[in-house]
Amino acid sequence: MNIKSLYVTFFMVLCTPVLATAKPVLTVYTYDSFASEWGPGPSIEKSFEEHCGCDLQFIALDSSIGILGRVQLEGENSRADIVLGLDTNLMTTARQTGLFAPHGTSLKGRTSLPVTFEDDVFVPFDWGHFAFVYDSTKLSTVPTSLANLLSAPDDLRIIIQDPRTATPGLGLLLWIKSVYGDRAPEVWAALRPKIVTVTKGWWDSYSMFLEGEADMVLSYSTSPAYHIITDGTDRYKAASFTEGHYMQIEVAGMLKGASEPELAKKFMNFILEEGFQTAIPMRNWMYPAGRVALPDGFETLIKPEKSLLFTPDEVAANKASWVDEWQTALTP
Amino acid sequence: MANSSYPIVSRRNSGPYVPLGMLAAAGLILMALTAIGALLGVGNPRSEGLNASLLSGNLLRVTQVAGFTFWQASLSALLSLLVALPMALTFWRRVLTSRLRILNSLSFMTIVMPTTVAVSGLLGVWGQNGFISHLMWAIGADGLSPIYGLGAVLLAHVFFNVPLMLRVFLSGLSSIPTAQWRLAAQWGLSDWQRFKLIEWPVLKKLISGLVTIVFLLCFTSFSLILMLGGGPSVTTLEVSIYTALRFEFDIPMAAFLSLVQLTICTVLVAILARFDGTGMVAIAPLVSKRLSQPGDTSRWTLLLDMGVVAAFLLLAMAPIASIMVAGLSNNLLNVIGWPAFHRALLASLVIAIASALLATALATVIAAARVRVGSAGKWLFDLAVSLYLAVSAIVFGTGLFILLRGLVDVFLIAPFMVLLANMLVALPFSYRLIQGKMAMLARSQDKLCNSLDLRGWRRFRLITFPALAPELGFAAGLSAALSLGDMTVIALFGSQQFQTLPWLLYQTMGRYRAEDAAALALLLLVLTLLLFGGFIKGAALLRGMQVDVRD
Repeated sequence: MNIKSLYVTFFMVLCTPVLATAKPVLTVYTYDSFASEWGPGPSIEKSFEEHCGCDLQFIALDSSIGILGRVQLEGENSRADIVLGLDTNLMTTARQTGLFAPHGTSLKGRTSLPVTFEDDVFVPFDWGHFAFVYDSTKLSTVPTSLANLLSAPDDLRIIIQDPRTATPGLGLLLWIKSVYGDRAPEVWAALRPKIVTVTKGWWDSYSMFLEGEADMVLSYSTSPAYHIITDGTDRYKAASFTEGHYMQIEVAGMLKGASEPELAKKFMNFILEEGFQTAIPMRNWMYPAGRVALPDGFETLIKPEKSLLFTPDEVAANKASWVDEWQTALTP
Repeated sequence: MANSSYPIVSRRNSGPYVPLGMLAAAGLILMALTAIGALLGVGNPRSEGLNASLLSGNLLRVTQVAGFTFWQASLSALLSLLVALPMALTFWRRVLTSRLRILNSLSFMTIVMPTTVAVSGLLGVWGQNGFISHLMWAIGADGLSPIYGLGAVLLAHVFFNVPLMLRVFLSGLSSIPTAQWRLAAQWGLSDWQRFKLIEWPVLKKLISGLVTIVFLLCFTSFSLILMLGGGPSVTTLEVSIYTALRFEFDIPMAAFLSLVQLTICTVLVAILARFDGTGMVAIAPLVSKRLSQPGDTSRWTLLLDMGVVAAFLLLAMAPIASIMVAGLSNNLLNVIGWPAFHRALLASLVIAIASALLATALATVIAAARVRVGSAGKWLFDLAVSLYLAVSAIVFGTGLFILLRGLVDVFLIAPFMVLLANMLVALPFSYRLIQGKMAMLARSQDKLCNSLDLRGWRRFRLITFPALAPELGFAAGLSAALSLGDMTVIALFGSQQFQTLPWLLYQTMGRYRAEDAAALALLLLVLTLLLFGGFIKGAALLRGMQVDVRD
């Protein structure tokens, strides 16, 4: 095959989805792994398309912050009808762009979140607790609280993520802030000798941990479920901390400029239904926000008694200065 | 034909290269500035924009970060040079003439790997659970302690850049005419004399260009810094640009930081360009063989060479081997069967090949123009090409996005944007590889060609191409490989319909699938190698045909 014919083939492949569509198209911007073959995207697409008489298209961007940036750059002309994959830390910022429209869906009695969540613009689709994950075959003395972690000997090594680039990284920053308040800088300074490295993304840390670079990694309390269900091993566990665990709630919102507003509303309502929610636990490895049964294996996970969460407004108002504080505390 | 009866070397008589090169250089500079300008122009949707208080609040940190970035990039470039120089000499003495030659073609792969993959390879060797730790446990010692920090960053930068330097040095050494080696052997020059008189004059000319490119690469290093740096104290301007753009969505700040980065890099390029070799060296138009020298068989030289080869194996080869071993699992066949893999493979191949051809062609034109202009022009060309090492892909991509968003359907042009960006990333490398040889060729062939009135396409086809073919093949192969590893631009423009292999790899990583990711990384490496080899062989084949025609 010569290059020209390769390119023609390539172009045809590229254009097929555009040409083949006669039904109305609902476009959803989401983060990469949500839309991937192993993410919840494909099965959600299938079950929504069974009823909607439409074509649901996911467009994958590199992160939840990437989605918001993209929508802001596109402004009123965005191709997206729905944005899926922001979290409570971005909600206020997203609302302030003025690009989002009310979803018109009732959330009352339909969610299974450990905190109350009422919002007229955003619908929660999943949630999780941040937690330090460890290998139970290697780590014998497991910290039982943040205070415990701080006072542990310095040869207890942890890997965390940068709050400026990764959601769990920001999660830990807010976790420490919500437990220690103004003492956060000294807590970070005490944590510093234990931090092996601070990575850009969650996977960078997690894979380093799997390769044996640290005793504990900042991840989600649901991470062990993956290893139980897919790898058939229960050696990885999340440490339960007595101060409580900071949580993340992931949300979706529809855009004012949606080209298919009725379909978009339908989808916003669909988010909390079974066809969407059952795809979450074993494909996004988070807790579903709706009321559906959890698959086997999830019952073995830790259940933090206290969930910590700042309001979206508090985060929006303080994030920049808290990150500055973090950066200063970790810079010798 | 030759109307003039006085065939003189004249700059006015230089054919279409100079105007074409000027056009290209102007286009490159304009595009970079427009992209940054677009960022500056968009204003900050969340605050008053780039105001004085914002600047003064950040100025101290920006200065500190810029200072550290400069420091680590200088160290990285210097260290790479110190490692690459002796390696080049050893390789030239031993490896290229032996069965170890394969090492040479494998080693360049380090520069093109997605960072996450490269780091996992490095940790497979230097990590606490890596190869060296296992060796140490085997002899009863303690394993390695964590390597993170400036040291790890330097190690990774050496791992990335030494192979590139090595290749360029070897290409320089191979241009020394065989006659010189014969003379050296006859005169019984000592190793030091030979180095000083024969090898150093050639290597010297390549150093400033190489140091520039490696410095710029390390200056704009990003994910690697975040992974191995150990914390926010080890940081670069590029990290600040990224966080300004993505985390704070402070577009003017990102543009301002980009300008700072661009300025520092430009000044450096300008300074180093002054050291670019301009003296004459006798040069063989075709690759020549080194003749064995009396000192080669001495025990010390042998021992030294063995040490250097061992260091090379550990530094550049072991991490690659570690990636390959990790990828060889049951998941490999599985991954090869994915429809998503086929789509991504096709897209990646088309983009890589197209971007390689474009980058090489453009680099050749600019390099050809460069030998025909004065020193100011040379500087301009170097600058225009090097710009794309200093303007981060994310800034460039976002700038283009802002410019194009109202004009065209961003999704439809995504493949072309990725192609353009990949080509621009590859251009500085292609250019550096081609330009040195081109300059040497021009010096030795200009007069002859002018007196024969050979110019333009005919000269290129009959004279220049056969001599330049190895560099062209290498440049195209490297460009293709770089394009295969790119992840930044696709992340900005990507969609479900258009995926490349690194993007697929990135998606796989997002969902715990370590084995699939390792298998994909291995496939990406193999593909890189095949494409690279294909371009080298292709260039050699074309050159063979050309030489036949000429005969």
